Amino acid sequence: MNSNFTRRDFLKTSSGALAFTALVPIGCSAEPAPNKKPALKKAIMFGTVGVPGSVLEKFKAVKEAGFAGVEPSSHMDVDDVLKARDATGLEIPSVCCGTHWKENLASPNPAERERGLAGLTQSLQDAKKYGSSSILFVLCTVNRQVSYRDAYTRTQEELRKVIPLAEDLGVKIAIENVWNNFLLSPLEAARYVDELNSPAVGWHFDIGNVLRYGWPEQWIPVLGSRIQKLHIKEYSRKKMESDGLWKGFDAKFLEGDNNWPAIMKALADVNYHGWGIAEQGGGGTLEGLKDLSARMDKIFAS
Amino acid sequence: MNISTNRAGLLGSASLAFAALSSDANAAEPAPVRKRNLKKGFMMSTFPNGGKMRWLEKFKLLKESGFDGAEPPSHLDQKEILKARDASGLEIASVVAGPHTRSMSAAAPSIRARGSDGLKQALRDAKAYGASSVLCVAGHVDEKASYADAWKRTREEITKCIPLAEELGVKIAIENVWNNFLLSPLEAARYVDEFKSPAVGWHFDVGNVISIGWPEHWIEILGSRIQKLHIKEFSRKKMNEEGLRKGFEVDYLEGDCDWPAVMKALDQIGYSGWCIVEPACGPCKEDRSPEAFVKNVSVQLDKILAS
Repeated sequence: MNSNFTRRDFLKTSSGALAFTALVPIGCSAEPAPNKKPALKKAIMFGTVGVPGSVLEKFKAVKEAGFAGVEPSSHMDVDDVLKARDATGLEIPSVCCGTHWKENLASPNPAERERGLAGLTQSLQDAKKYGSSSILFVLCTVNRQVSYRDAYTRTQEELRKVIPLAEDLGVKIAIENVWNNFLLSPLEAARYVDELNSPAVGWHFDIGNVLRYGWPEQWIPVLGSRIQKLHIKEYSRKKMESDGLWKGFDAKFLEGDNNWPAIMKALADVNYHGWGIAEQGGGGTLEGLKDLSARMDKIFAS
Repeated sequence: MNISTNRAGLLGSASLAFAALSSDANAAEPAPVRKRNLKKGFMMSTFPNGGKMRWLEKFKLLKESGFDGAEPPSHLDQKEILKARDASGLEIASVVAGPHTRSMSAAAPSIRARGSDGLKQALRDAKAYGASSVLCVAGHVDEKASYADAWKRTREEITKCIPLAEELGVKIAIENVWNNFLLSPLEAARYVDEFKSPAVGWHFDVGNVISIGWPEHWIEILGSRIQKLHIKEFSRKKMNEEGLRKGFEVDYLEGDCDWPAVMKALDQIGYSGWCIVEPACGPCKEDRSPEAFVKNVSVQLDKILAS
């Protein structure tokens, strides 16, 4: 009963808002309407761009397919990337750390943790050069040798070492939820970030990665303003059950189990207006990139 | 040091007991000597389809097959269970409230209340049967009930049951199941601790975490919060090649559970008590009679506990 009343109140407010909009210049309305959509900018993860050629040629294909940005890996040739960026006019909103899978930041081996930290540091420096506001970072991998508890303690300890640099550079460390068997709960993910007590630590939210045990539209309100970037990814629970866990990723945009309208609404509700970065198969050709781009338009409009 | 002394002591008495019983006709395939102070239980909802077998017949079969106890669901005719318990000599290890308590995360308060009412009945059943804990599933996260909702709502419902649990001296043991909730062992421990009551603990299901973790890590973190154990197998290979839930369709000792690591972790936290089998492998039951199946599981459990 109460929720009906609330909805009616909302309706009243929005008709009031109509009158209000007439009085303010477009783009300045502080209170968005209830059916608002997030203003998302379209980018793609460089590692998923499979068209052959140089960095510049790949950037050109991305641009031609309709994307506004690209997310390169760290440890690339910085000059190549900058030239390609400037020649195409693409933006680089985020840099994906290139070492986080190889060097486990929670390894029992201190030398490996040190290499992981060096990779993270390099990613922040690359991001600064590209004008990116955050980096994508996978904290670690929990496995037989690295327990959940050790992962939690060790990665926070290592991150604290690099936070001052991230703050100096003005580049955020955005932790991504991936299939690393760690931070499996949205509540815990938020807590982990908050415990580091720095504006330089946030979240890189991967939509498709949580479907095996969760709902992205529930993670988004919990993570809220911690979300720096988004990975747009599809997942099919049907394939997960009938073909195998990893087969769930073999689904094109809009052909899996993401409830995109609910996700878009959740993003608008937390005022996320930023980059949506595709991490999805199918980017091996220009045609494939165009298809991804067109499907993302539909997703963003849903 | 103390632990090894204790274990040596246990070993001695267990082998003595085994020697005395070894003339039993059912010990055709002699079980390995038990080297730990653990008891063998069977979750009744996974008992093979026994046609018209009554509780007493099922309990007798379990007893004959080498089990020490059974874990029945709540809301049964207490008198019948007590009769079967006493006639068979089985103990009641735990009572399952799970099907009721899953609704504790529902949006409607009246449905949530059914969950806590069910949990209260399970506590009373457990008291009547002499079981020290009940198996409680803390709600269920789905598209309707979010993780954050489940945290808040299930805490409220369980809190309502704590006075009764404390009064009866029966613990509410929360089980990790595939309910998309409490997916992290650190968070699970925190969830328990926030109740600030000795009446809340954990019912740890070994097989249920293998798709996302390692049971030996969970055991280390949950420690003394663990009241009971579910012994279950899981295959990561089948999960990846055939489908997520197909991971359960594997026989004991043929999946990806590292039983020696699990037993070592249990030794390290000083766990003693019930190890309750929940044979989730449907196909494993199809080719065998209930008698053959139960006896085989008993032998498998002996091997696991000796590993």
